[in-house]
Amino acid sequence: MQKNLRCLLLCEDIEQERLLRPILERRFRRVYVEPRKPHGGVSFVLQRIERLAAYIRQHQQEAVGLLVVVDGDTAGLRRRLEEIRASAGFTGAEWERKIAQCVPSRTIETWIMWLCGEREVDEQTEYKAAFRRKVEQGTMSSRKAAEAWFVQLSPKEQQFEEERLPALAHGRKEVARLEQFAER
Amino acid sequence: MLKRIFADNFRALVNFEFRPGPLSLLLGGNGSGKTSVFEVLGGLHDLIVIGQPVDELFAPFTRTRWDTRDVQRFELDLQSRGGTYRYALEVQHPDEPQGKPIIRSETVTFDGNLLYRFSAGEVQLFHDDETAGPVFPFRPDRSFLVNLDPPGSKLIARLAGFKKLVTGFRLVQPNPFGMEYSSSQDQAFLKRNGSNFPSFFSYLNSEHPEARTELERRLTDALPGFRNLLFRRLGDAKHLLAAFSDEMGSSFAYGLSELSEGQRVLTVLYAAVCGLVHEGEVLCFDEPDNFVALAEIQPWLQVLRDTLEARGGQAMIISHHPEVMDYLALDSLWWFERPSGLVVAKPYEADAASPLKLSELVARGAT
Repeated sequence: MQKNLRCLLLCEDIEQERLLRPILERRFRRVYVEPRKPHGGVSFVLQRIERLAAYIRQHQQEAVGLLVVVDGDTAGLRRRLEEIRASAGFTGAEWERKIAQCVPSRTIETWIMWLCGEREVDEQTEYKAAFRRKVEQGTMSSRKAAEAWFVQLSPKEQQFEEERLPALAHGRKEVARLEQFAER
Repeated sequence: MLKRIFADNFRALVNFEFRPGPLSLLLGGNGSGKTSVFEVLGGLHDLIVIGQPVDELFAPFTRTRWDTRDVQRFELDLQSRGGTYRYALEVQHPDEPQGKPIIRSETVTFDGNLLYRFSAGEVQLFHDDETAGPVFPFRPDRSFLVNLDPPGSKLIARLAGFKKLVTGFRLVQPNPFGMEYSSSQDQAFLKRNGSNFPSFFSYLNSEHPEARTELERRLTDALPGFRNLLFRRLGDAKHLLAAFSDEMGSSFAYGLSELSEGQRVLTVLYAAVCGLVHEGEVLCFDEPDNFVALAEIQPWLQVLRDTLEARGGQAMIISHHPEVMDYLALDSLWWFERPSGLVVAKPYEADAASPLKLSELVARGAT
């Protein structure tokens, strides 16, 4: 592992941190969660992207990456990616390979439920309440989901995931891109 | 889990109530009463668990300075798996200056049913099946509860369960200048200032080796070059050393006195998390960020959060540090203030529309 290899995690809420920080910790020595704010939501994340993107651009030689996470909510994957890119001022430059974007759709709870084995989920339905019930019952947790992230999917499951949860399939590729940067 | 603290006529806490969450951040200006809440918990712990006399814990000067009442009142609500305990204590202060405070009454209930009552110099115990137990005289300068030895009598297992929960109140405010450097006996507790860390580590080493392993793993991440902790015997005492290696692979052992203040504080903070966080325990950290390097504050908070969620347990943190505020901004936030002299704690609602971070809002005087 590179010396002082670290990743900044810019996300909306604690549940996103619970899933994605342990995933990043497998590859990065340190994962720093950027400031969040009560009820800050997507807009607070988007406000903060520009300065963090500028930091990554200005420190291209440093072993530091950035993962931006915003829920798709009703806007969806495509629109959220456009919002992130517009906020960050992306131009297709080389340094942008150190910035990855995840858009859990509809929310991070959708991903966690899928990773914990719930197969009847889609990106349009709201699962927050259902997820909370499962957590209280002890049958689901972000911790279990983070471990399941690394379990190899069967070809059938992978196809199913790409069809039913395209934002998750996209997010996996983005995280894998950051991991490749970390391994260099 | 500690659900509620009530204090009346203690320092600036008058008719004061506070309901902490699983991980709470106590915010507020200097002198706003945050530490007084921890002192209530520490005082009740020392009364019930250590057996310290009430006049040492709640001396006359701890009464609210402008309050003329001669009784202090304290209550705790503690949720266990089966129900909720309520502990209530009244401390009677004497009229004459030479007199000592005594316990006027002390009760423990479980879901509203009495388990224990002390009043007028007499203890009344109640069995778990709600039938009356023994009645006997007891001195009013100490709590009888200290005599309950967990797991206690099978007939009063619930009362013993209450004491076990209070045993889990841990105040942590590391002071690197007060740390001892050797251990003469194992100690299962960590003193508030962390001064007995070598003896606590010795206890972990012999009774909870998995906690020792975890502590050393965490310190490897936090202290560059750190390898492990080891004892070297000198007479009756065991000196605790920290082994480091350089990039060439050479190894060096340093006494704790040779570590920096920040390294000592980090060692105590990680020891508290690895060795003390368990279901039912309540850890109270008072400005844990003092002396700690900026880049090491959040990693410690992450380990604290992960450990609380994995093992259960509860933590309250007092801090003025922006790193702490911004990382815990979505947890249970409490704002302490004294608008008319008395302490008020209210849930903190940050201005969601503001582009400023929580720490920036606090730093610019937002309340």
